[in-house]
Amino acid sequence: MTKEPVRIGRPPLLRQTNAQILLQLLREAGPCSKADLVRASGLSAPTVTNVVAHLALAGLVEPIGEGDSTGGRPPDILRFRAERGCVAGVEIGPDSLRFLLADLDGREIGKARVSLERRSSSPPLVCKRIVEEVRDLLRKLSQREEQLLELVVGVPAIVNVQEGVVMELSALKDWSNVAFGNLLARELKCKVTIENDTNLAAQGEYYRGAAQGEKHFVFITIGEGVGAGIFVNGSIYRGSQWTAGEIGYLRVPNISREHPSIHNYGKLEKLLGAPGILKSWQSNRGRSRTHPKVSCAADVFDLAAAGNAEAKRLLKQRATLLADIVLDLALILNPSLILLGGEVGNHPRLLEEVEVLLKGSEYGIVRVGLGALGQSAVLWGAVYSVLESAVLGLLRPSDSTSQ
Amino acid sequence: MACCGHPIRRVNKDTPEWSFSRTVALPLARLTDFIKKDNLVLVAFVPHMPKIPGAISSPRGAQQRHLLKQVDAREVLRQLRGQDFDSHKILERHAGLSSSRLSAAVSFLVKKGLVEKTCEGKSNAGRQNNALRIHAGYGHVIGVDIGGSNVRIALADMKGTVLGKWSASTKRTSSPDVVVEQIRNGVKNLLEDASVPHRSLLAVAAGAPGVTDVDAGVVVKTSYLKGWKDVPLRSLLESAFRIPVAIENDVRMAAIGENWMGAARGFDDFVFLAIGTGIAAGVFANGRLIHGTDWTAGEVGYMHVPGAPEEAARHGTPGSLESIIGGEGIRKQWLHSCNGAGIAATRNLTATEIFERARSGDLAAEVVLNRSAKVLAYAVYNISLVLNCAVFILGGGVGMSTPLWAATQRFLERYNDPAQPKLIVSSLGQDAQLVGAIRLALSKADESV
Repeated sequence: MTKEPVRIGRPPLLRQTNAQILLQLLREAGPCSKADLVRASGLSAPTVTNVVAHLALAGLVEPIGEGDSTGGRPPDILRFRAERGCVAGVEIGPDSLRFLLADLDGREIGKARVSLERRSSSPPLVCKRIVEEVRDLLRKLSQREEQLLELVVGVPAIVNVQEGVVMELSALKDWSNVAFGNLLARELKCKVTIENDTNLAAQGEYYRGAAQGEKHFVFITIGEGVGAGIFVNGSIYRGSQWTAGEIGYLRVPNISREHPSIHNYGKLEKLLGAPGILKSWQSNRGRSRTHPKVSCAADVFDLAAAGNAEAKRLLKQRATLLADIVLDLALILNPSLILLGGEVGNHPRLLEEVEVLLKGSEYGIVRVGLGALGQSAVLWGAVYSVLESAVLGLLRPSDSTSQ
Repeated sequence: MACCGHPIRRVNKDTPEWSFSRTVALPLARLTDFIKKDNLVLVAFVPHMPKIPGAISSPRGAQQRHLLKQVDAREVLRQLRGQDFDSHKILERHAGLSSSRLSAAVSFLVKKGLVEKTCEGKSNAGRQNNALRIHAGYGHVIGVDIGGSNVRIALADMKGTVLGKWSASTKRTSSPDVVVEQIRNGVKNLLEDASVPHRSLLAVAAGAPGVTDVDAGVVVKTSYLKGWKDVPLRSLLESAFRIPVAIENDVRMAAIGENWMGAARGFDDFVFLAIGTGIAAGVFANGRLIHGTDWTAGEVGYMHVPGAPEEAARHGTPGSLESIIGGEGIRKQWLHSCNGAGIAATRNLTATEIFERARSGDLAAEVVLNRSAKVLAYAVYNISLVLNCAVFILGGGVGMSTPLWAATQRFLERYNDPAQPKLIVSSLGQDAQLVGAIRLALSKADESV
């Protein structure tokens, strides 16, 4: 993994930093005058004038009229133009594509969902569907295609984020070592980022959900599969080969003991994921006819909450596995918070059970909670993760011309 | 407020400061302006405000240039800590600075006497290149390793060359005051022996065997030293020496040492596993140590892996992992395994000796070795999955054992994982902590430039 080049203290960077400071003030505090910006930023008046001109040139700020005079000429009030551009998030699921478009303040301006059939899920076809749908959305919102600044795609796979390569995606056909980023960038003229979906969900919770302000936290998703997004020092940690947080293969004690039939007990997620829970339930159901029928894993947990003994046993078993995962993560990383999400992970009964199991330990203590964004965590994470770079992208070209 | 077109954010009644959750804090001046203007109660409507990813708080205005030179100078020092440079050109590429900025930073450092230019550099026909390197004699630093049984001190010059070592026992009296006094004595002796004046000392770094709050400079707790709870070690040492002090947990200190001069050189992501009486990990991620929220990241002795006991851990008892691969645990298993086989156990064997016996064909010892190696392999495997870390450095009294290393590596290979973690035995051994302490002290000294 090559590192970003070190960028220190060159004049364009200085100007960019100043621009960032002013933009942040305008975004957080709302419209205000140049004089306010001078006071609030601590920058000199000429610098602010310069930078504001630069920002106006990039279309990022505009005057919205005159404010109240304090004696002299009434000041021009400036505001951040969030509608200058937009960013799009796409989530590739096993059977659908979901889209979210947001303006530069991160406000939703459009969303869509299209279903994905397995036979039409090869990379070129998915790419085509995404491009069509994004264009369609932009048209509906009467946005020009140039206004789309960045596109982020969340994929349930290991992703080389730097090169935009999907390394392995088992849920769909023909997805192995696909340079999906290039594929999309050829069609859409914006910057394209490909990222693991769990990492995006973690970012969603960080910027907008239950993990706001947490510098060290882990987001565990349990749905079809099991994975974790790890935040260290306020940013996502991807590991040396992009696979950090692949906890589906952890080896914890209870798998080997309670399920001797599964020799390959690296497949923790086979048990803990939704299909595993359903499978266990069905196989037990075969033995006794009194079992109620369920359609998804969450139903089993609902039954446990309602007092079904078999469901309770199953819940307890899964919670024990999860508690071991939580403990290991807490000991290795010492996060302030571990969030559970995904179809299975989001169930409050599971959380309760895990909390009971963890109560005994005096080491690896960590707060465990549920994600706040549910199904849309990935999309929000996608959008928010590039808000800043989308704005900076608008500033960069004029930087080079003014040199 | 809103009527004059200035929506501002809610201000907390108790603390008269802006309630910006991140990054930019506004000066009070702006607030009072508003009050003077309108005399309105300051509760403004707050619409949904996005948090802005990656925003930086930055030095402002005129200060910036001065600060930048310092930042540049530190970057130059950081590069020079890794190697000497034959020419400006090469350093330029490494430090990512423009030629003029680099020259400014270098001449600043040369003027200060911290960096020296020599004419040894290669000349290619034209003007001769100046080689750049840190001036070893600019000052001196002290590295301290406080352990459960002794405290060790090293004196080093600015290039990190060790000029002398000193140690004393902490077995009898290990109260913080006594230990600080011991360190003070040790330093005095070292300075005299090397005939270095006290004013030449620039920084001290000390490693402590317990939970260490690096920011506050406090050793929160440790089970290895009696009476150590919330000890403000940094300020104790600062008032003893009147120079900047940095403290760090001993295992992380060792990780710093291995990263600088040992088996982890050149790795930005690796785990240093110290296995002795207990087991703990020092984790480097993206070239930085992971400390965690409560400074306890890497306390892996209580991890749950297959083959280790699963009872919830209580204070005062060894962790599940520790009971199998910690020094004491290994000895217990050995005695147990001997009794089971009806052999008279040779008492007083260390874990390392037991493992050596396994290599020479002792079956009872082999059982112990295999169990330990298997559990260690599971732990390494799990940590490497979570962190996606490919390199593990084994250190500590038990961890340095070659038979344990070989057996663990064999188990890891069986797991058949595509990205198999690689185990490397520490190359600094006992000295890892001390080397790390010197490195940290050098950073501290560089910072004060």
